[in-house]
Amino acid sequence: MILVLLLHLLVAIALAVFHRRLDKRAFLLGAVGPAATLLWSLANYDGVVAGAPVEQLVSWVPSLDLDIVFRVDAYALVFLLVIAGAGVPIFLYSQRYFTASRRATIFAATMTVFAGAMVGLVAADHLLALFVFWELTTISSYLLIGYKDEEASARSAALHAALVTGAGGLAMLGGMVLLANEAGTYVISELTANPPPATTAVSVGWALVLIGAVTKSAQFPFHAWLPGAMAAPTPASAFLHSATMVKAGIFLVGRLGVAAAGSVDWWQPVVLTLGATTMVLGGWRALRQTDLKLLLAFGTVSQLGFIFLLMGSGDPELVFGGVALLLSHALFKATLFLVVGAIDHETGTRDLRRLSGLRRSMPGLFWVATAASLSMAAVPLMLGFAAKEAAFVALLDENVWWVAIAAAASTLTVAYTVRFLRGAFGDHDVDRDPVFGRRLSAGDPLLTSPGALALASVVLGLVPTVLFPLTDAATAAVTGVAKAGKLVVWPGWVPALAWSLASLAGGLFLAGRSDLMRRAGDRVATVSSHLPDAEHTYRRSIPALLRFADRSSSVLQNGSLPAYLAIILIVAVVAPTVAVLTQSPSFAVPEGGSLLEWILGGLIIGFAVALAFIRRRFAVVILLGGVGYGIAALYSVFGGPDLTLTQLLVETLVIALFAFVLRHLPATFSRPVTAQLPRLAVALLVGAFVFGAGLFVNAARQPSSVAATYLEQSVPEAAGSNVVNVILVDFRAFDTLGEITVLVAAVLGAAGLVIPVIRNGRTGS
Amino acid sequence: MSLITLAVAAILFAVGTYLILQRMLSRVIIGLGLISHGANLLIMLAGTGPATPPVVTGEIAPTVADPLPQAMVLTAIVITFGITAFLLALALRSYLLTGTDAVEDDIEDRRIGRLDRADEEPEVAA
Repeated sequence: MILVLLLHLLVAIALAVFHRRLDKRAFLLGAVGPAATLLWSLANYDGVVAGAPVEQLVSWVPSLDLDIVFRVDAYALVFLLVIAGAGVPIFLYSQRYFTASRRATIFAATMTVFAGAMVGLVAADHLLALFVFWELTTISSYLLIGYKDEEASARSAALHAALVTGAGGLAMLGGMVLLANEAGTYVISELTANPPPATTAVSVGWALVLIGAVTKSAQFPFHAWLPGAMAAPTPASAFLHSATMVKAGIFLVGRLGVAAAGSVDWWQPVVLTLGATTMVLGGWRALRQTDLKLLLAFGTVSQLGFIFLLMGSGDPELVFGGVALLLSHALFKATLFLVVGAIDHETGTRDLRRLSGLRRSMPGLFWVATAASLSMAAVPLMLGFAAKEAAFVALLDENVWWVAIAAAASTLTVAYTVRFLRGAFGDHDVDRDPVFGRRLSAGDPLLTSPGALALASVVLGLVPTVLFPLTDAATAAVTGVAKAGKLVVWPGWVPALAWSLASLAGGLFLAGRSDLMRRAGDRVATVSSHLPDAEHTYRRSIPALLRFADRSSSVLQNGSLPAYLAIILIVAVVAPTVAVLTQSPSFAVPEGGSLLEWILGGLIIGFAVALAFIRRRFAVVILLGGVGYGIAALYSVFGGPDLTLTQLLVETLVIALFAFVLRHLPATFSRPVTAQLPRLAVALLVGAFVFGAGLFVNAARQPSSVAATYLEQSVPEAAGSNVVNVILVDFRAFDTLGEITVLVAAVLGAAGLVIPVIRNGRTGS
Repeated sequence: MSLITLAVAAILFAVGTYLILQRMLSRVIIGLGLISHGANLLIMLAGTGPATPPVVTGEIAPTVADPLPQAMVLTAIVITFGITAFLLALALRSYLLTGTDAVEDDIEDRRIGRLDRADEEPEVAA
């Protein structure tokens, strides 16, 4: 498995490096990746389906419990087969679809990276590894959608997809961390075997993971990015946006659904509701499209909703139906996308109002599209029918209403399938400049690639039992229940068949009365135009977000140094205050103090307060000196003669320095122009905080044992009786060395700044 | 610890804060000096109250001051002096170069703040 991943990486690098020499062979080289996945899957098929997962472990950072773990069970194998089975024909198709160019080669490299990331995503058994591969698919999807980077619409569609799935991915990461913390493991197979108990954290974790899956699989209300993603070249749409990447969310809910549904009881109803809403909404929107590719895209949204609902439910029968639908959907939808790509490639349009008579001019393509469409509409004898029948049977066991919703969505599916076929290949009056295709040669990959996929739909539809062991083993791998459903050509006369046939008939009726549909659609459109639309919400939310960022940065980052300082000070005061107050602290008011302290203290306070208001610079210097000398006197009251001496010396020097500097400056401070009241408020806040902190410290004061040791050891160890001096030059000599270094650095800096000024002054005078 | 000294420390902090929030660079430096004084006093307050100097002559008296905060404050006084000297030199240089003692708004930040409507409309698919 690791070798397969490395091969993808190698191929991608080779494509990027040798793009000049490769030309059209680029996609042939790219096909090596999915082909290797296919071979690997087939080689391990028997063992995995028999219930023995392939596991591979590379110890990476054992001390952090970070291992690269891969584990391919039958459930992962289903996805691997889809990735490889769709990947190989799509790569071969791309070789014909693109004209050789440097960009096409880079496109091939990106597709290869994507294929590798997708393989890693389904094979990874570690939540964080899964996340990394998940984001890799987001990034490659962004690059592939934005392939036509000269078009603004393609760029914004790429950004839309990347923002929505990227944001979902981040939410998912948060959820994974929460879940892994509660469960005590990041290994997925261990997590699903022992789901964490339902605490609030676990509930939030599941919700975040669900958001990730919903965005990735384009579920309501985040479905709008997928139709936009149709700006990508068709091979990318067929590969990423129908067959594989959008299945990543489904993969995830399928993998975790049983654990989640067992852990929190809101999971199943939420998943079912989201899926059902998406299913109906997508089908309805598909009916109103005129672009063939958009029609298919909304169809994909609808089908994804159905599969999402089944897979995420955590119910074995539903999961069985989901796996079957997933396989059939990948086959027919990739086929249809490739057909549209071929039409677009040959005629230059995908607008069904301009296409006419393609049934005769492109007969091969027509039959391929018909086969895939029959499977999509779930006509009996096709794979789509067998899969949908399995799903209906399971839903019927659940609740009849769910079947009714699913059947309604299937009716819409049938209707838009007919609309697709008729629009693409039928004869009709075209609005303007009709275009006609031309016959594709039998060996043309534009025909053979979708042809091979369509053939698979037909053959597997006739013998669906071939798929049963895989589907069954996959269901058992995630739910632990075997034989949860059946895959048969003809189910016999069971109630589910009635629902299937009813939706088929209903769909054909709707398709026959297209005028009726159009009028009903217009009416719904006028009503729903008042409702919020996912695309509009997205478009409006991005400028709003940018505006919010602009506003907040223009408030916070306003360029004013005092404002920045005030913010810092307020945070520095409020944060510890809140932290201390929540701990119900005790405060102790100390005794008043001696008369000497009151006299000195009064003097210092007087000088300090005067400092704040006096504007004559030299008065300020004298007041500052007064404060310093007052403090020096206070130190001697506290029994610190060394401090008193140092403070006296330093204060004298400071006054001299101030006098020297202020000599050059104007005699008075200019009057401030801005309001002083906020400054005063911040100042009082800080003062009050210091006072409170003092009271708090006073209550918590403990005699320091270090001091006792220093006092005792001063004479015997350092032969000095002045303990403060001994600490500075002996016990903590290195600290003093550091202090001197700081002092020297400051003096050098100051000298460097001032000496040129003095020199100039001398030469100037 | 005494109430009056704590009050002195708190007022030094308050006045110091008021001054560093000014635009005049020289007032900011004075404010910084006041805050340093206040911090030093707080450290001393965290030690013992009024006491005899920590000088050992025979028996260690019970009224002796805690030497540890004193050593710390001594270091702090000297470092504050170094910083004040450096800042004064900076203020002088700044005044001689720009002709004003005031700290102007950061022009770059101002421009970012005014960057409001320029990029309001991102590309949106038609």
